[in-house]
Amino acid sequence: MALRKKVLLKVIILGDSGVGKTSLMNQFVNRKFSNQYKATIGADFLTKELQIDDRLVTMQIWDTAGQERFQSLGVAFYRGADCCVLVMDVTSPTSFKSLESWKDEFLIQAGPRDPENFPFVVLGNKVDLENRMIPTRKAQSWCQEKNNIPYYETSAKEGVNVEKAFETVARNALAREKEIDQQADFPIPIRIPQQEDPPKRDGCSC
Amino acid sequence: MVNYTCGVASTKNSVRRSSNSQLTLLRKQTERYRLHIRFQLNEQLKSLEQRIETQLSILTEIQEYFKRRADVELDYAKNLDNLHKQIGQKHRAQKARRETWSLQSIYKLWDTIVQDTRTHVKYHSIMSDVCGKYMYDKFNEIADDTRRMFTKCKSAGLASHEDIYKVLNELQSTMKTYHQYQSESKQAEQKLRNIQQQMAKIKSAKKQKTMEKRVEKRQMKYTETKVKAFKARNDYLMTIESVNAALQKYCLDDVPDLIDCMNFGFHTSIAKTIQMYLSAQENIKRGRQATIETMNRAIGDLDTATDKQKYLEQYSSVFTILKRIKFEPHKGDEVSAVNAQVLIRDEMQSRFIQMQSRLAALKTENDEIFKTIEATEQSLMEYINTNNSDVSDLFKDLNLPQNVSKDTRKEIEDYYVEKFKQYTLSSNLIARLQARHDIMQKALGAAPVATGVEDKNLIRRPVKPKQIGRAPILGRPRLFGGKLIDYVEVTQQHIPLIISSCVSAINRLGLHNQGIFRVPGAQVDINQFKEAFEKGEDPLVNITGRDMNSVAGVLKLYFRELKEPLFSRDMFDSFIGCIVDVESEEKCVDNFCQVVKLLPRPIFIVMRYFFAFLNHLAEYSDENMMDASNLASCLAPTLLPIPEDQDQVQYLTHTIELIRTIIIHHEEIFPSDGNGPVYEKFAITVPIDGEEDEDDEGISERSLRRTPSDDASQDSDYCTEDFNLMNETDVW
Repeated sequence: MALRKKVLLKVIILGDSGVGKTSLMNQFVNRKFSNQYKATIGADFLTKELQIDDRLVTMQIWDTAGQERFQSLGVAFYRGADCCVLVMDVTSPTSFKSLESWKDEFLIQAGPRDPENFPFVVLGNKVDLENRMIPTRKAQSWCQEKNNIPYYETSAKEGVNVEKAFETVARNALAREKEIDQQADFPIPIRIPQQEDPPKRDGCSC
Repeated sequence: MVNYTCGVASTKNSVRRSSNSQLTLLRKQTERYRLHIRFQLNEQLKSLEQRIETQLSILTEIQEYFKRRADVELDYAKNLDNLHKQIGQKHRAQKARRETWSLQSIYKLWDTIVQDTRTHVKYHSIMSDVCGKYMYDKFNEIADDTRRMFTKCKSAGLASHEDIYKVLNELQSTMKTYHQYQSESKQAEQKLRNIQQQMAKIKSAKKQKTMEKRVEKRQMKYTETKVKAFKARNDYLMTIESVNAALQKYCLDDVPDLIDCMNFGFHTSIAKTIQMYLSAQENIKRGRQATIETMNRAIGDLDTATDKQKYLEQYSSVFTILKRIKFEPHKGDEVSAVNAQVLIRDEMQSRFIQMQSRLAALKTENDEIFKTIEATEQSLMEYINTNNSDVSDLFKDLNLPQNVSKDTRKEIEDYYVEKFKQYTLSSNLIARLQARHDIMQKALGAAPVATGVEDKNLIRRPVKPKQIGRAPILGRPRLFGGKLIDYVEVTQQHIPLIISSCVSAINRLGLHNQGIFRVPGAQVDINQFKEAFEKGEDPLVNITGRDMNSVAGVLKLYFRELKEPLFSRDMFDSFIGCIVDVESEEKCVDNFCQVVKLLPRPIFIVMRYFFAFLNHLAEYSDENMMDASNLASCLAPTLLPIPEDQDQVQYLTHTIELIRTIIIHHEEIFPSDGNGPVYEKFAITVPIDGEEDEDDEGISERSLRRTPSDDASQDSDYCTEDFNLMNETDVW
């Protein structure tokens, strides 16, 4: 059991434009923060290897464009995701309100097997800024309502909590992986009809 | 003495008898009176009961109505459902034969109509439930409640009757007492009188003395009974008063109160029940409203041009351009081009000139024919369009105005088709001659070709290309999801209000807004703005800087929902061709300049306006962070969407790059030729003396708002004023 082959985790980052999805990914993968303000086009992904307990995990993190018009592109990227990271900007109430629709959108588009228990992680980004609008309590209570989604407050700029948040992402995705694997251990056998009885009529009757 | 005594006794008896007979009479009277009261009270209760029964039977009647109404509604719903099902079955059965139906936009209309019945099936079966179950039960409940209430009230009424009877009994007994005492007092008085008379007759003092004692005794007796009689009278009178009061109270107050009590909540609960019906009606009304809207949209989606296009594409093999016929050379003949050898040159030259003039003449004629076609088309369309579709008069018991005779239509129609035939024939002839002309020209090596080609490029495509059968736009064109060209044509707003208003709002308040056009706005606000703009209102008059993302959001939504995107899908290949495999930006700008010339004029004007604004926005990118490439990333998929049949991923970066280039080089690409409104950086729409009305179009151009009296100095005043204003508010 210790050595499993499949340890590639597909993680999708979703959230309104400008909440810092790309920055979070860059901070986690490259430990860099750039002040450059650049809208993401379509989608993009980076990979990072991670040691979770005794297992080496490759995380494939998909960064998506928050633009309304790019959403149609999303469908293809959502498929086969192991975990979904919902990001909001703690200085923007709109981005908090959008979380719900992002979550729904993801479940509809990705169509995971067990939508009730699909692992989500919510990140409240930009905590380094002073004009905070969404109190921690409000975000936490929202997360609790939604089947206890883990909630982290991060700052991509200062690298606060980013590592920890993504580790949780990996762990939750892994846990789900195990469950699904176990289910897959005993698949319903497909019965191949054995062609024992010969055709009733020999030859052609015409 | 005995006699006398007898006499006295007889008188006494007679008095008693008379008083007795009076008493019995009275007693009988009161008895009758009591019976009368009792009877009346019972009657009252009975009639009250009847009243309730009447109410209940009306109620039952109402209930019955709704019960049957429910059946009707259910039948209706069932019929609608059957209609829908049968049509669906038929459609499925003939699926193979109807495969090509989906190419027609009227198929969608038909589908909408058929699908719409389902909503009404639902609505009417709900209505049936409401009438037949909920309301029925409710009415039953009301009837039960009313009956129960009546029984309770009846017992309350009986209790008060008992009370009245008691009072009456009391009255009777006091009356009896009164009369008894009265007669006793009368007797005592009589006795006293008798004894006094006797005493007066007696002379002897001794006897008188004894008499006196007796008189005294009688006197005392008399006084005693008199007092008793007084008391009894008082009692009697008082009781009469009280009985009268009781009866009066009962009739004046208690009975109405009793009625109120019986009917308590009766009307309210009926009203409530009927309100259920009303609410169901209200919902059906909403459903009908939705139907009207969907149908309207379906009508709006009827599109001759797309139908034609789809049809031609589907049957491309049938409608494909016929194969070119090739020159079959005579054995050994190798020349396959028209040759202007010396031998025939002169002849050819003259033929060429002839042909040129013929061609010119034909073209003018053809143009004339086309004009006639247009005019005829218009009158024919007028005829078709005025066919009265407003049937409101029927609902007011009036008849629809009769249509003009069919003959007129046939006449116009004949003329139209005749002209159309002429037009096609003559334009075909022109094409034939043109081909001959061109090849001869080539052979003769005549020079005037060059100017012709350039001319062709320079001439901007006319606003209205020659097109047969232009359908008029019915009603006000849709803003969201409509066609920009139609909207401009009908409203005569060169820059649609939504664009000018959003642009001017962002110009005033949003230039410094970080992430403008990137960060999404509040959906609620965006929807609100959308609705207002769709109604033709301007919701951004009193906008504050906080809502800028929503303003940008509604503008993006508008561009995104346009039926034909700003950069039309038909021309996508031309657009993308400007940038794919082009090395330098300059070359790309050059290419695009050529494509711009093919754009319809209204689109050109809107593009010029919008890209000038985007360029202005990018100037502030140190604050709003939106430089040209960021703006392009966010807007390219909205302005220049990649057609679905093209490779989305391959072209995405190209479209963004193209939009970025246009933003940067907008001045070069869209020359301001003095025609149509242009964007101006420092034009702030300040309503001047409330003269901002509909003609103003809300465009933030001074050039448009300028009245003839405005002279140049005033104009420049504005400019400096605005500029100062900007300087004050901004720190740069």
